[in-house]
Amino acid sequence: MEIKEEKINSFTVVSVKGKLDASNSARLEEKLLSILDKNEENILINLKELDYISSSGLRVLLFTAKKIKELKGKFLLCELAPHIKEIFEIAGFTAIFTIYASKEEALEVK
Amino acid sequence: MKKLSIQIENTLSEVNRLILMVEEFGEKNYLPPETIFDISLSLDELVTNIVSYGFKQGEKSKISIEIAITEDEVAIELIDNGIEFDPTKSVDPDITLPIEERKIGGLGIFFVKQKMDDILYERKNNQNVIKLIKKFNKNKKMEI
Repeated sequence: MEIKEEKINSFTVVSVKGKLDASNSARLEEKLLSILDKNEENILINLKELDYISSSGLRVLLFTAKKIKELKGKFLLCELAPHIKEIFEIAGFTAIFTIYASKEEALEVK
Repeated sequence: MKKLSIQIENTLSEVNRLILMVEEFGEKNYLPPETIFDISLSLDELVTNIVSYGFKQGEKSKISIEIAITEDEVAIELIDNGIEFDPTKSVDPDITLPIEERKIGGLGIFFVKQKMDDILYERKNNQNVIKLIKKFNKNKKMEI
């Protein structure tokens, strides 16, 4: 798994590439917590290049979303491949997360 | 019938090795990509669970996995020496709760139940024996 971080407008965009599972989800959690530690409360997770996610990955996203909700920040997701989106649907995450088809659309959120 | 037998140690890096072998085996035998994804995810969730909760800290053990592909289904047998755990009895998470009330965890086994056509559990000779069945359609067009 590769993680890339960039700042665009009011968002910190975190792109996750490859496989996100129990063996590396702690690495993503550390990265997301380090962003919140810098008082950056708007995070956009770009999953365009994510091939695989297990419940360990979803756990990290839910944990971060809960934290951001408390901080009254924004937590958005974008560009999920169909098989990844299906996992989010089974987990009921499409109802609790805001998911955009493209990064551009997500970044327009004020 | 095509068969793959693997034995791994109870560590997370071994789970990665297992999933890579399962993916390779599935591709070599022309399983549809969505079937490979579903069995990889299900095995990942079950074996990660066994590795994380089945043993005392530092306890070394082996987990056996056997995968058989027939004309229209994949049959998987998973055997471990960990503490007794019946995944078919695990309580499903409430996926309708708002974000504040959603529990962190419990999703893994739920995925397996959603993705597999059949899950059977047996406690035999002090071992957990899990059998999974996934049906597939070889002629189905790729969706991914």
